[in-house]
Amino acid sequence: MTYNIRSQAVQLFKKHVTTWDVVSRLVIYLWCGFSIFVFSWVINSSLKSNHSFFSDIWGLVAAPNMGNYEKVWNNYHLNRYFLNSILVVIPSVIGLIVVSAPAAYVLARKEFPLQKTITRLVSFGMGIPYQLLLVPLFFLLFNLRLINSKIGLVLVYIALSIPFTIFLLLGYFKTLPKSLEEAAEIDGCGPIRTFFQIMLPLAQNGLVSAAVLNFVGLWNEFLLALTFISGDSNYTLSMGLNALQGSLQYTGDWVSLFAAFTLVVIPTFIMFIFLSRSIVAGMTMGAVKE
Amino acid sequence: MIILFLSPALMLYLLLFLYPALRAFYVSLFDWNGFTANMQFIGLGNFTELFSDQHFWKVVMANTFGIIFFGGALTFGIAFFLSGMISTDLKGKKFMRGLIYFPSIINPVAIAILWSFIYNQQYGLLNGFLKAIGLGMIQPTWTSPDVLFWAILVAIVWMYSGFYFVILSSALERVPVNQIESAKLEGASEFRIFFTIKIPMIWDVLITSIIYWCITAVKEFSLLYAWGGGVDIPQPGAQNLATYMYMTAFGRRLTMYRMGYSTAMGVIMFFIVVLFYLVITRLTKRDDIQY
Repeated sequence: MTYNIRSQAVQLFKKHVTTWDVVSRLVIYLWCGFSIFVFSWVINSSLKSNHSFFSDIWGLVAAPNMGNYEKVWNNYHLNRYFLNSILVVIPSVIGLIVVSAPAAYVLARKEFPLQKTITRLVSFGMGIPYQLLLVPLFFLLFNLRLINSKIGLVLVYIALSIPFTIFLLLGYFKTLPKSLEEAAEIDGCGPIRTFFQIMLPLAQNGLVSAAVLNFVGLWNEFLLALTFISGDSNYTLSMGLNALQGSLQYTGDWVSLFAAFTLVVIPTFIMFIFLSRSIVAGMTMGAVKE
Repeated sequence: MIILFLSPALMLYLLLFLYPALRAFYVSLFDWNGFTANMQFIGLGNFTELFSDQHFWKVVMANTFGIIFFGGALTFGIAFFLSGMISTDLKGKKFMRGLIYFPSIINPVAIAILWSFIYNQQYGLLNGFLKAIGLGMIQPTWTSPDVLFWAILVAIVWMYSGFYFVILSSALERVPVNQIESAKLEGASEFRIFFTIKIPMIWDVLITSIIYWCITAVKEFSLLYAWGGGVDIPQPGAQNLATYMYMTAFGRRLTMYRMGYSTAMGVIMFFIVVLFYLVITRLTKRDDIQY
């Protein structure tokens, strides 16, 4: 009954379209239209030759060719940078989850001395700008001979993403019902087995969210890679793209730059298409649960 | 078990995060080029040098706070506006939501490339657009030194709006519908509903997002550094604390290797975050609203 009245009321308001509605809708369409236009324009241009691009920047591509893609992929070593990014980001994300999930679990569900202090200490890291520790960390890695090494960068990525990841997973583990562990204990299941066989599978969604968010963040990471990687052969995509931009903009080879743009964005785009739900879930989880 | 579960994460965190962070405060008190053991203690010398440097205030700090305040106002304004709109039933809502969000997960270096081409004087989209609508006589240099900062700021806002849009709009969606409807039935305007019902109900989320924005904005690096094609010294419009501190420590073409000086800027960034955190949480303290 109440539902009926409510939906009737909603119906009533639907008919009432004000100028505000019109204007605001226009703005939202414009905002989205701009993005669609820009992205399709970049892809369209990346298939052109420089000559046809500069003669008409608006024109639809007449004879699409993948030449620009081949050029940046092979000649400008985007293939290597791509591989480097994968070799750095995937181990980082896996390592991050492997160390963070147990820690978050213990902090969320076990009582022990220093529990609150440790939780606070870890969350504190979320407020520290990386620039604060950039120089000391550089020399720490330098002394450990981990400068310009993928392993070094992976370790840095894991360490620096720990606060956010633990914070996110902690919130997730807290939502799981307490009775599960009790039941497991009564049935004679040890605490470590309980974690691996009962709690981890239940926290699957949280783990996926954490992994996806960190993947996207690290895939796009620039500052740390730039600081701790120096050799061209270890460049990640962000660095490679930056270097590429320098040389291609100098020669005015914009269409190749657009091809590089597209290649760099594709993985995040695919991730986004398939996993946008986990991304959004993770983001809102972080913001809502203090 | 507790120690076993905690120690890998804690060890990494302590060794590679907290230890260097603490050491930064120590390093910031020295004159040090990094590669010699010879660290000269100069007390707060790095800070006094920074604070008496005109360039530091007029360019570096001005840009940093410009991003925080103007960028923040624009980003949250747009995020609020778009999220308010998308909550009304709109065709293709899911698609548009994704589209609005997407720029915030694009590589910032790629965004720098994209926008520097949008602004390009001769072949750029913006000037091309002006030509197409018959305003060909106005062909501004969008990235001339005096407006470069604002041009970049637009790109930053475009990049981040979608992120805050998603957070705010999913918070707004959890506001119970019946309250809004009864307010509507009693004749409250959209504006009034927004400010007196919706905002108070998403208060916590809003505060968290604003604090998060301050942290993000103060350390904004990638887009500014990548702007203009891999030059080692960003133009003044692209210099904020993050890029300037990187430049003074690790800049390649013109190497300064001023490690203590640079770290002092990192310390300043940290205190800016602390300051914002304290001010925002004190100013906005209020009772939770239960619903």
